[in-house]
Amino acid sequence: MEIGEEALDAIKELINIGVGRAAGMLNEMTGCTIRLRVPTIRILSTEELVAAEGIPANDTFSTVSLSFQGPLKGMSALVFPPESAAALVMLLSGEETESPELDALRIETLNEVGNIVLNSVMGSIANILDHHLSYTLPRYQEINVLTLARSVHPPAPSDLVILADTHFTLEDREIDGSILLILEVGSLEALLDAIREMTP
Amino acid sequence: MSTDVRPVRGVPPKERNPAWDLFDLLPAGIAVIDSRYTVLYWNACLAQWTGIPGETIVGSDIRKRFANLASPVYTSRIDQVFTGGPAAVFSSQFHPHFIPAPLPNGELLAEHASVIPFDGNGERLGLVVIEDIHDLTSQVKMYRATRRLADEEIAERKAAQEALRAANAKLNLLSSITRHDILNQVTAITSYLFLLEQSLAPGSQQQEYVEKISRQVGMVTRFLEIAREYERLGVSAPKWCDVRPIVERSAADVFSGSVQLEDTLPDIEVYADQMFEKVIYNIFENAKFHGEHVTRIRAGFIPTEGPGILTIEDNGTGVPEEDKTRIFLKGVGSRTGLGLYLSKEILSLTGLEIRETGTPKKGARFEILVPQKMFRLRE
Repeated sequence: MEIGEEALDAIKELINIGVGRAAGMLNEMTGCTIRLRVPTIRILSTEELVAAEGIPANDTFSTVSLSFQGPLKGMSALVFPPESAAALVMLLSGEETESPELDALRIETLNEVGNIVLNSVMGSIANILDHHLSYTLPRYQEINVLTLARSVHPPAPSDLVILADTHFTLEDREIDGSILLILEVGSLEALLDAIREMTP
Repeated sequence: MSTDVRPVRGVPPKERNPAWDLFDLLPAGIAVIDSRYTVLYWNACLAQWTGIPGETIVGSDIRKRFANLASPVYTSRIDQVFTGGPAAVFSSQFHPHFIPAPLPNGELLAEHASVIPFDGNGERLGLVVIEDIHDLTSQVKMYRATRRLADEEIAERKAAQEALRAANAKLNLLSSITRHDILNQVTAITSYLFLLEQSLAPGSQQQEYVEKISRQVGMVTRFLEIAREYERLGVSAPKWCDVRPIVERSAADVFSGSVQLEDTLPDIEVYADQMFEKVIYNIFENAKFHGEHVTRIRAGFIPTEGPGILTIEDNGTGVPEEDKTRIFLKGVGSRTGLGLYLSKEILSLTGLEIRETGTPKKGARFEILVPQKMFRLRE
């Protein structure tokens, strides 16, 4: 499927609006100065995820995911290498970060961070669709991205993934993660149609 | 608080859903609110935790009861839920007391909260679910404190090891300089003794004294050489030592092929100080200098249920019964009296022991006892 540069820019803009709003909420909640930005996005098939730069397919990642139904169907996920996830949570909660480690409470905290980021991104997307989506509760998993992408129901090779590289900057540290939007067949077209309708 | 506090529903009949009564059975705090934050339902668990019965709170704005919920930190996210967004979850890290609930010990209950949207007769409502994670929080905090303590102890130990290593290096340097200076003086003494001996009448008592002094000076030189050889003792970490090449190398160095080596060793490695080779060398030197007529050396290994036994035996004169233990003492022996003593010390660094079990006049047999975890046999 051919996706023009303008459409890619528009999707990136939508995600950046969402993460910007999420950064504001995180700032208010934690008292930290957090900057969140998405410098690049890529659109891949689930099979192409195997070779995607920056997220080795066989590595286990700490993920918070949210499935959705409606005009768009699929899953959004915030994905970090486990040590980055632990470092992020510990920085946000003002803990020492010498040996970042995820325990049950930090996983609970990461789930909230993921919830804030994904809700804001999905809110930004749902706004231009002008239609409500229905969502599951956020779910934390330690999983490789390919298995995560294949966990949308029913998985199909033609499902597409919007892969957004995400930089969290706080306390002079930059922590890299990714936002994945796994869209079932037809969903990307629905999103692009909505973008086209918005564009003068 | 009694567990049989039952909320009395004050909700207008059109908004009441009898199914919500099931929430009273759950061991979690459950409330239903609308987009104006009006409480429509308050379950028994919340009534018990807060001491506020349902009849008191239903119909009122939850933010009036719990002022913390009026903060934008909560409202910005709960509002999202009512405007079509996904559920909002509130972690105990940032929102430990979503609905403050006092415990008998004066603390507040640690909570994990979620506000989940659902359709209530065409109106978007929020299901507030509060989970009690007080015990989990305490356990994780205890684990973190233990982990922190362990990390600190490890760091202290590493620092102490580093300090010891540095101190050892300085002592070795001092020892090396001192040894060098003494050797210079000994060389000068030896030269003057030589000149003095030349000037004395042969067979005189003075010449006899000079010869004795020369022998003593020779011993001083030998002690200094031993100090140099053993200065690395215990300095480096132990390692797995492949026994066969060590035995073959030491035999070749000591006997230069004049003795037959019978090797029945399996492929075995022992975990020992890096000077382990010196131990084997010493045992062979012992055979060469004290065995008198050694023509054969046999090296083998006996696995037992206890420690494995590494054996080195010769066909020399053996060790007299009364000396079998004494030979490992410091200063015992016709040469420096240090070889077997230091061998025992080297082995003891990793828990290995040495003993002599040969038959006097038939040959010496040294047994090195290697604890189970300190040896490994290769396939």
